[in-house]
Amino acid sequence: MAPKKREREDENSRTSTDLVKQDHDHEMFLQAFEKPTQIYRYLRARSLVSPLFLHRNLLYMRRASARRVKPKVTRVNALLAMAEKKQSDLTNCTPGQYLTISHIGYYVSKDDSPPSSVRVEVSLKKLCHKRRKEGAAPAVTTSFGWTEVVVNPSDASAPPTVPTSCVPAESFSTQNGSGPKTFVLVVRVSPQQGNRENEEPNNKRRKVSRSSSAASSEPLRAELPVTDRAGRCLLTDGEYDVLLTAEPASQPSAAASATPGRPGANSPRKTSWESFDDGKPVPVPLDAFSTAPTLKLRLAWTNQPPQPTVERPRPLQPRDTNQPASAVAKRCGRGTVKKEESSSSANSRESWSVDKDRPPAGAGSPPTPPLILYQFIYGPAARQQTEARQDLLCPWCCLDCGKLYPLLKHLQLCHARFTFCYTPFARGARIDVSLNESYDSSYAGNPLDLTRPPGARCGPGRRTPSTSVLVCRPRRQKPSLAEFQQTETEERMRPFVTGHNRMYHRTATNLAIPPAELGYDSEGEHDHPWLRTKTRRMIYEFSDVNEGEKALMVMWNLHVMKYNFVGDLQMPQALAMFIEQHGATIVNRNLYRNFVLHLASLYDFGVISPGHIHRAIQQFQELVEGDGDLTSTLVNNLLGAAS
Amino acid sequence: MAPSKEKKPSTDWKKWVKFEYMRLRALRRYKRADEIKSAWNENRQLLSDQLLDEDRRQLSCRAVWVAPVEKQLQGKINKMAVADVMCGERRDKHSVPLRMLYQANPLPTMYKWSPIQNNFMVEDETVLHNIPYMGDEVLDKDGSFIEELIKNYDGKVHGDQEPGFIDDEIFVDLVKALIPHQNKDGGDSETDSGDPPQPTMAVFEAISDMFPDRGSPRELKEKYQELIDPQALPPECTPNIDGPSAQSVPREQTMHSFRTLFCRRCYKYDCFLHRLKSYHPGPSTHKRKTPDLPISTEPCGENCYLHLDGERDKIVARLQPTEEEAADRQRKTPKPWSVDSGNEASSEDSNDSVHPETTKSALTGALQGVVTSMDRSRRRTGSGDASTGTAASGVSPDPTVEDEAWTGADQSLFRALHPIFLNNYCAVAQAMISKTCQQVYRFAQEEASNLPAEEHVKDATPPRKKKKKLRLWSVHCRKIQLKKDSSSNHVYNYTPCNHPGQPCDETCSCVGAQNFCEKFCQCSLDCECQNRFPGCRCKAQCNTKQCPCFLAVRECDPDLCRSCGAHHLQVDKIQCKNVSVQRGLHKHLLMAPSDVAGWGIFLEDSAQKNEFISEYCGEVITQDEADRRGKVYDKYMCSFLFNLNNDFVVDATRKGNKIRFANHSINPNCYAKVMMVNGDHRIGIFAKRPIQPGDELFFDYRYGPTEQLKFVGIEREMEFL
Repeated sequence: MAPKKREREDENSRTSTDLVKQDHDHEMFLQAFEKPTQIYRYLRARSLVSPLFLHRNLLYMRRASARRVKPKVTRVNALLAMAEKKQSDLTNCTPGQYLTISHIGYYVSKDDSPPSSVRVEVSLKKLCHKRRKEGAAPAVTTSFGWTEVVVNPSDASAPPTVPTSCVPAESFSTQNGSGPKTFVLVVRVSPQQGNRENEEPNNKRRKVSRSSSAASSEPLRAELPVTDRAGRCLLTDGEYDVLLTAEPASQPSAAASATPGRPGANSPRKTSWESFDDGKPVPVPLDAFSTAPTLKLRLAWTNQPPQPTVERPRPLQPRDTNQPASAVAKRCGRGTVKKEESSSSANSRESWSVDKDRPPAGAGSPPTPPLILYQFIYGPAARQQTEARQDLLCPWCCLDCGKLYPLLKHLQLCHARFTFCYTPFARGARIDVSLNESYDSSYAGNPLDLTRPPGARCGPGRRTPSTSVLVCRPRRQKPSLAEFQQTETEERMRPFVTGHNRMYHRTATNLAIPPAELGYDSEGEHDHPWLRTKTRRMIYEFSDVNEGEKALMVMWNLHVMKYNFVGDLQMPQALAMFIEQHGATIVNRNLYRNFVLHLASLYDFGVISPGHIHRAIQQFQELVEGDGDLTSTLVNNLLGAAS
Repeated sequence: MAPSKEKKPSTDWKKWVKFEYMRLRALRRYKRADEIKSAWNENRQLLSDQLLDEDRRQLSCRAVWVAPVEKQLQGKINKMAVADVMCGERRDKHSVPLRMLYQANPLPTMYKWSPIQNNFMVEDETVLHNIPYMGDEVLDKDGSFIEELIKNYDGKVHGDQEPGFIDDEIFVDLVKALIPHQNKDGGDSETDSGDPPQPTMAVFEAISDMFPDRGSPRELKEKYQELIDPQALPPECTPNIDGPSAQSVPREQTMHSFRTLFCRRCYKYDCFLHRLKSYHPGPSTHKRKTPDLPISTEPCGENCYLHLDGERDKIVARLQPTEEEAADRQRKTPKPWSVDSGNEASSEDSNDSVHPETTKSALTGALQGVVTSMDRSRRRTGSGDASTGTAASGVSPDPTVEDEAWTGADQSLFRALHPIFLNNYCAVAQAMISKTCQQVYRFAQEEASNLPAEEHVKDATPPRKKKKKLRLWSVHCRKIQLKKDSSSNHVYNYTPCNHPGQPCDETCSCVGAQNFCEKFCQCSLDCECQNRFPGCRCKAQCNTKQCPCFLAVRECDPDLCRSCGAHHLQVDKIQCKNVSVQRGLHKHLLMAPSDVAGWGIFLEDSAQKNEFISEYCGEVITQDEADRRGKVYDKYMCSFLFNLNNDFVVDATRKGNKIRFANHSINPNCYAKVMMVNGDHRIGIFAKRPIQPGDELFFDYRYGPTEQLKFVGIEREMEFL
């Protein structure tokens, strides 16, 4: 439910430039709030389809959605009493023990030359629960006798007494074995000479009458539902005009019209409550009451069974014609009722004077929900207010929080893209809503999901090691509304995740590193390829160094770079490794004498001793002698140089 | 050629020179443009070829989309994308569930950089290479910035050729273009004898007049001759000693390349870091302390020079007074050489174990035998004298033939080896392979007679009795500490000192810069320098102030500190923790977008307090260069400059390692420390407190390394914490 925004007009700024600026500001304001609102609406819809968690399980929502009725403690001794009490539940819901029906008269149009009186049968039809195999709902009809009703009694010529029928309230009990669902009071009017066949069970009767015998006997009937689906009694005390339909086969629309202003109790199937406030015409054809035959009844709930005939009651006067709408509203939907009440109570200050001294809906539970006002703040000046609302629904989720504290907590935690600041005022609460500038919208899940194409994973893959603290029990403060009051929200704790909860990238290419390759330090080597190329190029660029020297120097440089020798002491070993790895190359590339010169150079710099040189030469020759090809190559090279 | 012309070239000449010069410049421009064009076309052709190939490849293989049949997951509402696919006559309906793509955050900006693990010295850039682009609005707002920048480089911008620009190629072309003009000028004075007419002096006079900074006419003429005929010049480098054109050259020339290019400190040729001339004093001319290879009295083979009459007695007689016992012992227990050729050879062990000649392997002898026989057979074919004898009986070859066989390469190699092995002709012969011991001996005698007296004999000074100087360590360290503390906080770069014959006193450059003398100093060779750092004798990990190296903000020197295991080549054998920078024992770091700004660097594993994280590597530049670069970096609001010492700055902008991404924090978890590592200042980043895996690394940028050094002493550290 989007908050209805109403611009608070600034009366002073009326110039056009100001208006333009104001429009612009307003536009910016709407844009700023639009995106988060859309997101939260989407999230609401998603959580309806596949909820991530249940709001009612949250700690702060616990008191809000707690069951109103405590679970009953069942004792064996109390079982009978409970059963009896249950049985009388419906009876209790009826206003009295007996439903007394006073038949005031049967009105039919004058030109039909009606008989002086008609027979009226009152019966109760119980509609039972529909079983699976049965085509129609089973119905049981109980008749409550016949009465003679005068036709068209005028005020003058009316008989002083009217016949009554009595329906005991026990008949409405739902605890019978068949488990009736609803009750319908059936009023059937037949001419005086009508036969007795109407006393047959109604369901059969109806079926038959629909096909053949409707026209012959001309029984007129009407149905009045006693209870609605929720078991509430619809037949309240009052005078009813029951519209009788001649053909039961056609639609059994029985409309009852009581005193003006009361909407008719219609057939439960076809009708619905309509709200009158918008002035729509009532769809029920009220003019039918003037043409069709009607039966005027007066219903009253009494505690004693009435006399068969009672004194004719005086006709009721229309009540309070000045305010029909409010009276109508009482019979309308609950939502409308609430709204009217809230608006009316908002208008009247007196109703709030009672609550003034009470703390506004904190730990206590005020009997009336406080008035909640959302004020949207954007920039220094742009602020808009919603209408005051009395329900504690979250404006984005429509979640009924029940109380103010859960509402504020819910807003703060579930709608973190906004900041909420709570200010109590006399009649309730004002909540300042502004954009949360420091909202961290970063993705908190597996960082690999962001770069990996979705659905690309097949089989298990390694995740980066990270530890998430799932259970954290900080000392919980007592819930108090004061925590929402300061605007500067205290630094919100980051999620308790330690370890590699992020996506790492290669330094050279900026590509993401899959977790399986994290353990390998790819960029740690001392001889990066480009450095190898660089040293090669630098040596080869010398113009006064001959080819043999260059080749040997490059080979030696690469060797030193690869193993990162650090001290003079490591040089003999470095030489040994060099000979081991590159000895064959030295021979094949005809570099032996250059290698000896290299040894001499190391000696000149004081790095190695003559003993080391001798040892190196010996090792080299041993290596060469181990391989016949190398031996011949070396000999050829040395003699080739001589020739 | 009139003398008046020499004084002042005619206006015609001026005109011609100017005309030809402009023509050549224009020609060159066109040529360059053509080159660029053709290169561009070439690249374009390459690219389009690649595209064509790709197209062809894709067209050749008919791509078929196989839609996997997705099972509808229960309870999930999946939107499906449905497509009708005509498969022959059959029409298939393929559907695939739509999947949500998450929004990926954009990565921070990254400029290209090259990874290095050691510092890299680069030269100062004296010309502005490029005008940094940092968005139009910056340049619009601050127009003076570029001017200021150019002023920093004295107005020199790369590619800006001054009007007087002339190089060798243009010069030669210009002279050639001007030759026809000299006929016009004074045709009768010049006779057309040769086909390529030589330029007269008038040409060079005119050019010299036009470009006075190029030198006098005579110099120009010489230069022209040089450029025209490069063969006339002597070759620049010594010929390859392994090549066919090897010549007999003195030792200095043979060793010249190795000697000038070798870096004593990196053990590399033409290393990346020590590029200044002052870093390389060259090999010391002084006698080394390393002992010579002892001379054996046993002949190495049948061709050994010891078989010659009287030689052996001479040797024995010479060895008798000093090394009689050693020689006796060696004779009694001859150790096979191969046993001792182990890895961990120390420089002082050769006295009692080196006795190579006796154990010369049979294969080496065979090799030499082959060489000698081949030598002999060649000689036989060459001289036609077949009666010299068999291969085995070459005891006393003909001396004339011997001399003939010494090629230039052999001679050069002998000269290189001779100072090393001195009179140990067996060792020389073995190293040379191609010559027998006797041949070497004979040649050596010849050389000795040709050359002035060589110092083949041992030093006159008797071998000093070496006594291990167990100085009081605490006293020594206190002295060092006092010296450091009393001085200002300036830290100067270490340069090896080179003052032969003088002790390291106030005149020594190391003392002046308040650095210790290192093993690279020349002083360390000839005398016990008092300014040398003694190294530590720790048995522990050298990570407390008990260790004098740690205290002096030095890493343990593998050649000085022997007891802590800093000299092991295998890293896992080292128990010393004070060698992390030189061994590159850095932590594994991972790069990710930072929680703070831009990129950040994160630790893969945990780190203890004071544990080494990584070295801060980069280009080593001078302070001046750093000032110039810093101007640009400040404008970018992104600087990787890090003061190394008073002389140099480390700049990780272009080259660096991953730690360059560490961000600044006033409450950091790392600290930086500039350490002396084997003669180089290097920046180590250490953990200031225990760091968890996955934590981002920060250090405080505000402390330059000069201030850093303040904080490493005992009392300073307390202050710091």
